[in-house]
Order: sequence, then structure tokens, then C-alpha cells
Amino acid sequence: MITHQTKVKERSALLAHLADGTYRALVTSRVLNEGVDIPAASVAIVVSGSGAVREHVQRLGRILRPLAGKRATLYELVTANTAEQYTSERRREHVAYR
Amino acid sequence: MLTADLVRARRRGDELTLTPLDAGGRAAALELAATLLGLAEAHVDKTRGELAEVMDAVVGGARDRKLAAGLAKLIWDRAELAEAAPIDPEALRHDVFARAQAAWAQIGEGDRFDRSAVLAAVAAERGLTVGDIERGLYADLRDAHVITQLAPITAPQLVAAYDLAQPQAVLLRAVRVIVEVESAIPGAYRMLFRKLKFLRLLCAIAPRARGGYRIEIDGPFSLFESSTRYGLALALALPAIRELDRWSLVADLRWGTARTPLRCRLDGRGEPDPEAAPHLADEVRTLLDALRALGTPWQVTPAVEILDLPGHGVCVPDLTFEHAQTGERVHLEVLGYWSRDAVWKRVELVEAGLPHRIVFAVGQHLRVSEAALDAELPAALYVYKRTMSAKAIVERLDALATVRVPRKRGAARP
Repeated sequence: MITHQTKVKERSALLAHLADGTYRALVTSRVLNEGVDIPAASVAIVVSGSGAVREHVQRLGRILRPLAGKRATLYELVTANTAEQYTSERRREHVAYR
Repeated sequence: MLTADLVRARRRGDELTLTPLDAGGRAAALELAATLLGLAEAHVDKTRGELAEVMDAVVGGARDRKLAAGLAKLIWDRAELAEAAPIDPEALRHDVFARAQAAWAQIGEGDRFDRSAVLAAVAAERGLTVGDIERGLYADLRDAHVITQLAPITAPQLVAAYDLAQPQAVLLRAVRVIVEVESAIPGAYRMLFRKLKFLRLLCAIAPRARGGYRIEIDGPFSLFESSTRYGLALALALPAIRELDRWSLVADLRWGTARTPLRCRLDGRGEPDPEAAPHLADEVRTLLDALRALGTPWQVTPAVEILDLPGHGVCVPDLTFEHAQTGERVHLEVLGYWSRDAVWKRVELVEAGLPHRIVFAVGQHLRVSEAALDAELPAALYVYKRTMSAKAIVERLDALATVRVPRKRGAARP
């Protein structure tokens, strides 16, 4: 798990372990929205997020690093018939999601 | 120290007025202080998160939230916290996560992942209990820090500290402060000036025609970068100012996130500061020891005089030197590294005819040249890098000893 409180050294160790397969999954808050490159990552699950298109595109970008034979999948966890549904629709207003 | 949002003040035009606690507010404050202190004392050896939760509940439920939050903040300031992590949390996390990963790899169709089995395995391997592992896993997080100590204070003392913290929080946002003081005891002024020096505050002191002194102090918001450390020093001067028989203060502020220019007035009469003790600033103390160890003919003592040039200003030296053979006297004022402005004020004072010999020690990164003072003047600048050198100061004393000093104005009589 990486949060804003995770120190840089441990952060890079965790990411390295994810890249080399020691860890299969990583849970993180907004801190990994941008700037991290893990080609081996192929599945992302967005549990919570704002309606911001920019943020959502950046999150998608985390699993879109090319790797031979990879198929990237992005899941969104949305509670039906709540405001979350609207927020989710709003943040997908981008060519990347069409 | 309180933050600006915890200050009880009212704005009227460009005037900020502190609203002191009324009788009802004081009673509520005493009750809240007792409750919060009781909670804090009961949470020594417990975590920050645990205390924060109960304190926040009290603050949230208080009728006067600003008061409660302010008292809580002052209690937090008195708490010492430490990371209590007997097991290296980072290594422990790696152990647990790697084992969890291995467990995942062996899991069959329809099986459930067994978290407690993973923890139990790690605990067994390390000879610890599952509880130890649970507690240790994130012991490095801020909320898991343990309160090791709480500086003792009673509820009435805490409320008194709260009263003082209100104007102090205002001073933290000051650009300039003008203080006027009056005292029946001359020693009281010296105590105050010493304290101002000890705190390394930038100030210009001038005697008033009707007695007492007017002190102009630069605020933290006038510096190149507004410095928290300087603001704190200014706030710490307030107890010393409040000790004088009569005092009043006008602070020019930059208030709120918009940094609105506001003015705040405070005044009072002699409130004793129980923690008062005149000191020498650390760097001056170190220098004094070094000078004494050097064994020169210059006898050095902490300065007790206030050098006054009527109509121009006052200078409060840190050290005074007296030559064992000739009896020549030279003073030293350490200006440090806060502002160039303070240096230029001293230069002006000397050029106007300050009737004393004096060396001003100035930090190098103020980029002031030692040549800013003419060689014929009875004062010298000493620019130093990090620490002042006793030898370099003695060289300047020797050079100054031969320079003529202007006669004291008003001393000459027909």
C-alpha cells in the first residue's frame, strides 16, 4: 500500500517489487495518479475518484505502458443509482474512453 | 503557539481587535481546559490517533469551538511524541506482504484468502504474537506515534497561556511592531532590551521625551522570506514587554490568507512573567568564552550600558571590552544575519556621532562590506561567515582603540 505517508525509499521498493512480480497488487491513494511507470501492470481498479477528466485519464495512463502481449483493463467500482454514477460518467468524457 | 484561525478577534475597518474572554467565557475555558488536560494526561503512553479522536470529540461538541480548539492546540504543543516501533515496520511489512503473495499463489478455486493465517505465520517465525504484528505493521504512521510525555500544567495556567497566546499569534503575522514602554525601575528597561537582544530581534530603540522608550521592531513579514523562527522570537518577546509598568503596542499585520493589511493595538500594565531570566544569546555566550580563553589585555563582560545618541537613537551592545592597561572601552553588538536594514541604521548612528567605540558583527550573507564604515569613525564592521572569531574581533578592538571618539553632545558646558 502506498499513501502520502509512505517514504520515498519504501515507495520505490514497493514499486520495484510490483514490477518484478514479488507483489501481485498494490493499493494506493491519489499519490500514484501520475508519474509512475509500471509496464507490467495490466489491471487497474478505480475504487473512488472525482469527476475530473484529467485525473481519470492519468490513472488510465498507469496501465497503458506498452508490453508485449499485454491487454490492459480498467475497472471502476460504482454504486448504481447514486451520485457516483454521474461522477463516473462525467470523468469519462474524453476520447480515451470512447 | 496558536494559528491565526484560532485567534478571537473582530475586524472593524482596518483595525483588528482581540476579544478577550468574558466572565462566562473564562468559566467555560477553565472547564474545557480541565477536561482536555484530563484526557491528555490519561493518554500518555497511548497514540496520537487515540488522543486526537477523543480531543476532537470534545472540541466538536464544545459550544465555543474556537476556544476549545485553541486550548487543545496548546496542549498538543506540550506533548512529546515518538515513533514506538520495536520492530522495523518497513521490513515487517515486506515480510507480511511477501508471505501474503505466496499464500495467494497457492490458493485454489473457491478458497478464501486467510489473512490471520499469514499474520500467524509471520508472528511464529519472529517469535511474536499476532497482536504485536498488527500493532507493528504501521507503527511508523503519524497517528501511531506514542505520547511519551506531557509538560505538566494546571487548567488555570493553561487558560493564562491561552490569554497570552492570543496576542502572540497576532505578532506572528506582523510586518512592524511599535512598542512604547514606561517603568519606574531603570533596570526593567535593561532586562527588556537584553531579552530583545537574546531573541535576536531587529529593533530600533529611542528614548521618549516624556520618559520611557519607543521600540520599533521589524516583524517576521518584513523579512526577505517570512521566517517562522523569527516570528516565534517576536512572540516570545511579548511576556517581557508585558512585565513593564506600562506598555502599549501597535502591530502592522498581514492578516489571513489574503494578507490584508490590518493594525492591532494592545496595551497593559505590569504583568510579571514567571519564566523570565535574562540570558546571553548562544552565539554571544560562545564568543564570550572564546574571548576569555584567548587571554588578551581586553577584559570582556556582558554589556550593561545602553548607548544613546540623543535625537538619533539607541544602541544596545552585547559585550563591553575594557583594556587592562589603557582603560579604553569598546563595545560589540552582534547584528547576526536577519536584515541589512538594521546594519544601515547602525552605520547612520555612528556617522551621526555616536560617542562610543563599537564593533558591529554582521553575518556574511547580508552582503555588507566592512568598508561601509570609514576608518576615521570610532566603529568597525566585522563580517563573519558562520561563527564569530574571537581573534578577528580582538584585531578590530586594537585598531579602534587608536581612533578618536566624538565628544558627548551636551557634555560640553560653557
